[in-house]
Parts: sequence; structure tokens; C-alpha cells
Amino acid sequence: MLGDDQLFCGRLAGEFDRWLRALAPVTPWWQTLQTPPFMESPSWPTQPSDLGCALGADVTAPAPGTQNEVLETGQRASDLMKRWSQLQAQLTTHWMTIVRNAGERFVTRAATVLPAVEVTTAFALYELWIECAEQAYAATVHTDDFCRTQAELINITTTLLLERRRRQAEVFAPVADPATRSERERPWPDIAPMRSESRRGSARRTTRGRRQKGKTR
Amino acid sequence: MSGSPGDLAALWLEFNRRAAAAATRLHEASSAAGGCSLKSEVWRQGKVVLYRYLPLPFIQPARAKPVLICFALVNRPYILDLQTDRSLIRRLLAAGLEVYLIDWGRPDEADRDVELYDYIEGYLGGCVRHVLEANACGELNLIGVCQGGTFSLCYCALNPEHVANLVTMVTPVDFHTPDNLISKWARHLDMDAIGRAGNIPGALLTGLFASLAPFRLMHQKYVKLLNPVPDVSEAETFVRMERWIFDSPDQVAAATTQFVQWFYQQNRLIHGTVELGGRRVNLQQIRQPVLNIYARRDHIVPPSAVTALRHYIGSRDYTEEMVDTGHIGLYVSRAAREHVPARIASWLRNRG
Repeated sequence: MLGDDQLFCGRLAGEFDRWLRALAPVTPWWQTLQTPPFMESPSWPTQPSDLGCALGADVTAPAPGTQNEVLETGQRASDLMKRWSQLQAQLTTHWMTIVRNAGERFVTRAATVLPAVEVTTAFALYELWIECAEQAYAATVHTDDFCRTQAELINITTTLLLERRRRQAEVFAPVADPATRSERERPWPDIAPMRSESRRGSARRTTRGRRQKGKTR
Repeated sequence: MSGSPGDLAALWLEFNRRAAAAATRLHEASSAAGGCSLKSEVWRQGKVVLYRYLPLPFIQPARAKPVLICFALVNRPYILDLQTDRSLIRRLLAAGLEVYLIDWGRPDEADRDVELYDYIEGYLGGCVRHVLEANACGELNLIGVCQGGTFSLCYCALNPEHVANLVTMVTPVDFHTPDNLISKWARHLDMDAIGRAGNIPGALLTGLFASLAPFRLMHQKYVKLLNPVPDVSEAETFVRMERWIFDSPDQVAAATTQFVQWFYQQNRLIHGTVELGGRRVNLQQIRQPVLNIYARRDHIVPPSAVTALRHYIGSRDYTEEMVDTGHIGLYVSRAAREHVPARIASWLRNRG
């Protein structure tokens, strides 16, 4: 029976393994970042080809700016796309480590579960699998390499998002004729000190109130 | 462990029967609403609202100062009053306490420049002043929950004269303990760029929290509905919890950038380098009694991040309370729902 048990556990681990692999491409948590509705654009880039669009490489309207600027943007896009793909590959490697690790843990521990096919046994096996998967996941996602890879991927994705918005703004700006940057920022030299002064005043009032309260005590 | 085809077919049928029953129960419970205690709006600034909970009938008011609860920005505060048998607020009311709750609201792009100073000294400070004026008293009891606890620590250190007693629940203090996964993930983020992209979508936070233990939080809890199939009341609780978990408001760009940089990346709170409105937050200034409650199995704010508080505050009356549950379990689990409010109420009553 021991041989049967091991075979059965191995098959189950295989099923769980397939399930876990199927989860791998599910949208990671940070991909829920999105552009605000008024600038809604195609969904967050998930493929290198989307990233090209993100930087305006495939849009039909020519990007404004000098030829040098366009070339620089294209080079930057290419570099970011390359790095983005490398990081995705690294994350996939991490994910495969989790899958393998979880499977090994499960096969080792499953033989101790009740030896009968009943509903309770099935749930017990499932719980065991979840436990193994969580342990394997934690062992990987706490590593410095995983943390750095994920963070860099998020940073690059954010850069692409900002770049996409900049390109969109440049395309649509002549139509909307909005205030220029200098026009928009003109009031700030006046507003910023007022804001700081207001905060300092608030802090002073609090301190003064505290002193007076101390005196009355 | 190997079974005959007949056994496996029976197993498969049983799973299907349970799945159908669970689906029916959830459908029946789908309209279950959250919130159970009566409250009235007493103060508002921008999208932030201060609620006062109405005293329960036939309850003798306790001889204690009013209680102000400061919840986190990242989730909605109605988890503290989810339903009659899972309500921290209701238990505090039943203990005769006067309870106020800050609802931070749902920020939109108009709020993207709101900073931590505005939240802590502006909104939280405004709420404190209102409670003090309304009750004609000089001090109140402050309960800070999770991120709201961190805000409460900052407020208390800057304005110690307004806080008689401080209760912190699952409140991160040392953000660089080795078991803090969110901190590790946040350490290398370019928050300036992320902040420039605008407010952080609430769905991102929901995803982040689920990703800390994805198999338990995104799969196992649903499979658990089949074993055993919940009754109507259990299904309603499940629906209310699910609704709350997926109800994260968007996070203001400026304040979130500051919070991640100052706390998660630079761990400024324990180094005394958080600066709000030109004033430094020094935890040594917290000299009032402190009750620090944490969850032993907390995967969001690990116990080590919470208990670090004892090393940094100036209070000589410091009490730690460990509850054997998880982060959210501290508000709603069976283990916590009797014990935690009773502990808070008795601790406050003993200190006036």
C-alpha cells in the first residue's frame, strides 16, 4: 500500500502543481494600477508589444518633438522593454521555484494523511496542500532577490505609465490648449510660502496654547 | 489512500452537492448589510466625517473620558461595527463608554496633494478638538487601529496634553523587523514616481494584502465554505466580510508616498525623524498610559513590529496584550470579540 500511497500523493501533487502553474500568469497585485478615467487608455501593459504602444512607438500620430527627442524616447522605450522582459522572466523563475518547492513539501507530508478516500480526507489533503504552498511561497517572496525584482518591475511599469501619459498629453495638448507649465506654476511661488506659514502658524498656536495651559496649571 | 472509481464518483457528487448548497446560501445572504449601531455625524471637514455613536439604552455611562477611534486609511472603518455579535464599538458602548469614530472617507483625485500632516494634525486634530469641546473636557482616550495607530502615536507625541490614555491595536512601530513582508516589498519602490502617477487605487491594496498569503486568502477561504456548508447567519457574516475586504478606498498620492517613504522605507518613527508641520515626532513624549494590543498570527503587521513600541515610548504605564488570532481576526474573530473590548473597557475604567 505504501507504493500506492506514494503514487497517489505524486499524482495529487501533479494536479496541484498544474493548478499552481495555472495561477502564475494571473494578474499580480500591482498590475491593478491604472490611469485615471479621463485619460483612460488600453489596459496596463503586460506584453513587450504593449510597452511599445505605451511609449508611442506604434501610435499612428507622429510624436511631437525634435527628431533627437523621438530617437531618445525610442531608445529609452527599447531599454525599458528589454529590462521589463528580463524581470518578468526572473519572476517566472521565482514562481517555478515556489511550485517545485510546494510539490516536494506536499509529497513528503501527504503520506501521513488518513488512508481513505472520503470527503474529510480530501479536505485534509487540500488544507495540507495550501499549507505547503504558503510555506513555499513565503520562502521565496521574502528573499531579497524577489523583493528587488518585483519592486523594479513596478518601478519600470510606473515609468512607462507616466511616459504614456506624457505622450498622450503632448498629442492632445494642442487641441485642448491648456495652460502652459510656466502659466500653471506661476502662482506657486506665492502659494507655497503661504502654505508653510499657515502650518508654522498652526504649530505656533498649538505650542502657545500648551504653554498657557501649563501656566494655568 | 487509492480509491475505487465508485468512491471517487461519490466524492465528486458530494462536492457538487455542497457547492450548490453553499452557492444558494451565499445568494440568500447577498443583501446582508454591514453596520449595526446607531450613530450621528457630528463633525465634517472635506471628505472626513466624525461620528458619535448613540449610547445603548439602559446602559449606565462609565466614569471614563470619551473614546475616539482612529482607523487606518487603507480600509473602511465599519469593520469595527460589522454586526451585533462582531462589533468592537457595540461592546465599548455596552461598557458605558462614549464612542466617536473617524471615517476618512473616499479620497479622489482632488485630494491627491493631502499630506500626512493634514491627516494627523488637520483631520485627526480637528476631531480631537471637537470631541473635547463637545464633552467640555481637556483630555480624551484615543484608540488607534493599524495605520490609524501609527497616526495616533504621532498625534499623541505632538499633542500629549489632549490624550489621557492611548490604546494601539495591531499598530506598526518598527517597520524593519525581519518578518514584515510589506516592508520588504516596499523597500525598493520608487515612491516619487508612483506618487506622480496619482492616487493609489484601492484595488491595488486589496491585491497587495491578498498577495501576502495568496493561497489561504484567495482560494482556501472559499473552499472552506464547502466544509461544512455555512448556515444563513454564517453566510451573511461571510458576505459582510468579503464586502469589507474588497472595499479599500483609493489612497491619496501625497500621503501614501510620505507614509511608505518615511515609515516603510526609512523607518523614521523609531528614529524620531518623522516631521509634521516643522515639529519632530518623538515617541519619548508619550508619557500617558498605553495599552498595546497585537495579534499573534498577524501576517500584515507582525507582532515584532508592534511590540517594539515598548522600547521607544516614555510611558511608565505600558501594557501589552497578545491575542491568538490574525490581523482582521482581532476585530471580528470569536477569540477577540469578547476579550478585546472587555480588556479595553476595563483598562480605561481603571485609569479614569
